[in-house]
Amino acid sequence: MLELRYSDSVYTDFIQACARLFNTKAEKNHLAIPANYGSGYLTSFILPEGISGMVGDTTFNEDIMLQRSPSPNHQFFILQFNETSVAGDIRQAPSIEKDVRPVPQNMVLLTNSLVQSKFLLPAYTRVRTAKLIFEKQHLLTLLSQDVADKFVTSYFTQMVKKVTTEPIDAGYRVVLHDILKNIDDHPLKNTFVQNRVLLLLERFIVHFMGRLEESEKGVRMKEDEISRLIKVESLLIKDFSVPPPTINELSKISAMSPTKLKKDFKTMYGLPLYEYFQKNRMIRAKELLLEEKYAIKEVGMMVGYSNLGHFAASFKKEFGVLPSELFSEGKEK
Amino acid sequence: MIKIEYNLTSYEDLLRHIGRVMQLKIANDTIVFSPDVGSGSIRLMKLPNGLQVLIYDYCSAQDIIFYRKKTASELYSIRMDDIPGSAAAAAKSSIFFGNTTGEWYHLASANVHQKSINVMMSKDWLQRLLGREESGDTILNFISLKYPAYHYELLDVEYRRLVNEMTEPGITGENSEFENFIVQNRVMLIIERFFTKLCKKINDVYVNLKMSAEEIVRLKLVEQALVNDFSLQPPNINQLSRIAAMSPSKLKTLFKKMYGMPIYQYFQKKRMNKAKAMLLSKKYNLQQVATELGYNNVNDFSKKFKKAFDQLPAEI
Repeated sequence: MLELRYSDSVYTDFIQACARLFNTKAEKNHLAIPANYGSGYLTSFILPEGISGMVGDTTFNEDIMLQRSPSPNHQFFILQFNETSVAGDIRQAPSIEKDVRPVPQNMVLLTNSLVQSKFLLPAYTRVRTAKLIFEKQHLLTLLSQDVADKFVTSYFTQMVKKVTTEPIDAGYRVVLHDILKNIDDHPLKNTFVQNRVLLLLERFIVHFMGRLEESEKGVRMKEDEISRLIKVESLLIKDFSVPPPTINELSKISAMSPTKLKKDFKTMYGLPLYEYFQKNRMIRAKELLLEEKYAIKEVGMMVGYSNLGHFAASFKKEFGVLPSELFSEGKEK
Repeated sequence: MIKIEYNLTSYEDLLRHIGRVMQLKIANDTIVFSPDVGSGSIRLMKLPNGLQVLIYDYCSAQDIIFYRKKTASELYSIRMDDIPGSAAAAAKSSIFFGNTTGEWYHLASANVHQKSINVMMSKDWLQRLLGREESGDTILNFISLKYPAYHYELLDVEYRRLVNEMTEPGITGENSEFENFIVQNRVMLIIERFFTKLCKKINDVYVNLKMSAEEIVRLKLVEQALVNDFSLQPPNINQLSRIAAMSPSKLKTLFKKMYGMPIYQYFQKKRMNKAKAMLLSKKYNLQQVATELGYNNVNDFSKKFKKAFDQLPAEI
């Protein structure tokens, strides 16, 4: 197991620390993971507001313990969007100390620099990530004083109660994938990445504040229920070419009654189960179409439609245009 | 018919001016049309990143003509018109990019719902944004070459989605806590999308030129040598031809294809643009500017300047 201790407040430094760990050299803002340690890359950048950010797509051959030492004199927040998937065989998680958590799967994670945080990045797990480090003053450039204050104070009360629960859902995933897919050859790379990272931050803050109102009303979920719901979500959108699991199957997997499952899923992901499934299916279809590699009919089949008319109608329902109109409208002449 | 004639300096001033001409009050940076003149509103937003946004969403009882006069200060704007209603009208919905160095008219017909979002950025702001990007120079060059022409594009699904997200009730409006953040993000996405598409178009133009990448690189070298230092005589065709490693006649043809005008006309245009920029900065006197740009004689310079901009340097 490799161990990385750090306390950096900008990701440019973090990238250098990673490079030392892997006995390699990083460019100023970019680290390619050496083949003997894994694959992928990390790229850091600074937003005009002064927010430090990093995006990456990595898979390591070894478990890595990430340990952030507290910075008692410098308070900042670390917001992470991690989407994890295990390549190949699923292996046993190594036994670990009590206070160490594996990097939470498919959850948005908000921590702060005043307390130590320790996370285990298991080997052979692909992590697609976007991370931000920001201070309260950064929020003040984007939000009003009231909202920024409320955000910071309620974050600390929530942290004590351990009720921060924001899953990586369709909305985050679309943005995250868009960044990682197009970062290399976008002509306005900096603007492109920054706009999307700010979009992630915006969505998180809007949701966070929304949930705050809900929890004031008394809607709350237990930690293990949350992780079961995340599992349900990942099964639901795993493969669109086959029919989705039924409510009964999902109910068995999540060890909840169908009624409770439906209700809690909606609370957490904002949409009823099958509407959520359908929305993701259409998002996937749009992504595939935009790759311009497949015919509309092919895409329809890839997301589980054998009838092209049904596919087109569903697509139009979601995006307001037919799949065939996706390109024609933007073109001139 | 109402005529609104203005010099664009800032959207704040413009809003005040519209208020004065139409005799409507401005409250919270918003003009609300009273029932006798129409319905709807014009609203100003000042975003944290320094951009100003004007959101028109109104229906006037009378025709309104907007007439923006030419100004020397270079302000850029992106304007999105989304005319709701019939499909034919939707097809006209468009996005424009232009600057204030040319005049501009717009007729808002009576009893037609006008929905438009305008974003204004200073030249500095634009240079800061594009200066950080690899393709930034290409885009800035293109903009300054083609100026003051407008770039025009149809509002496609994606643009329209962004516009709708910005103007959705509950997002814009006094009671939204996150309004500035949300609007700023959408505005930035629109700007990014516009310049990304513009960049693709520019590259396509190069492709259409049927020139090799190598030739394009060499032409860029020629362009740099040409505008490098105006205080010296420009390199002659033979020297440029050596830099480009092509025959003088081939160089002339390709240069014109790529930059849209003959070599020395291009040189002169860039030279005059620089003169104007120097004069506008108010840091140099006429003599200094003339010398810097390679004119020994101030009169000669003034004449050439007048030819380019239709006004004497002294009038700036």
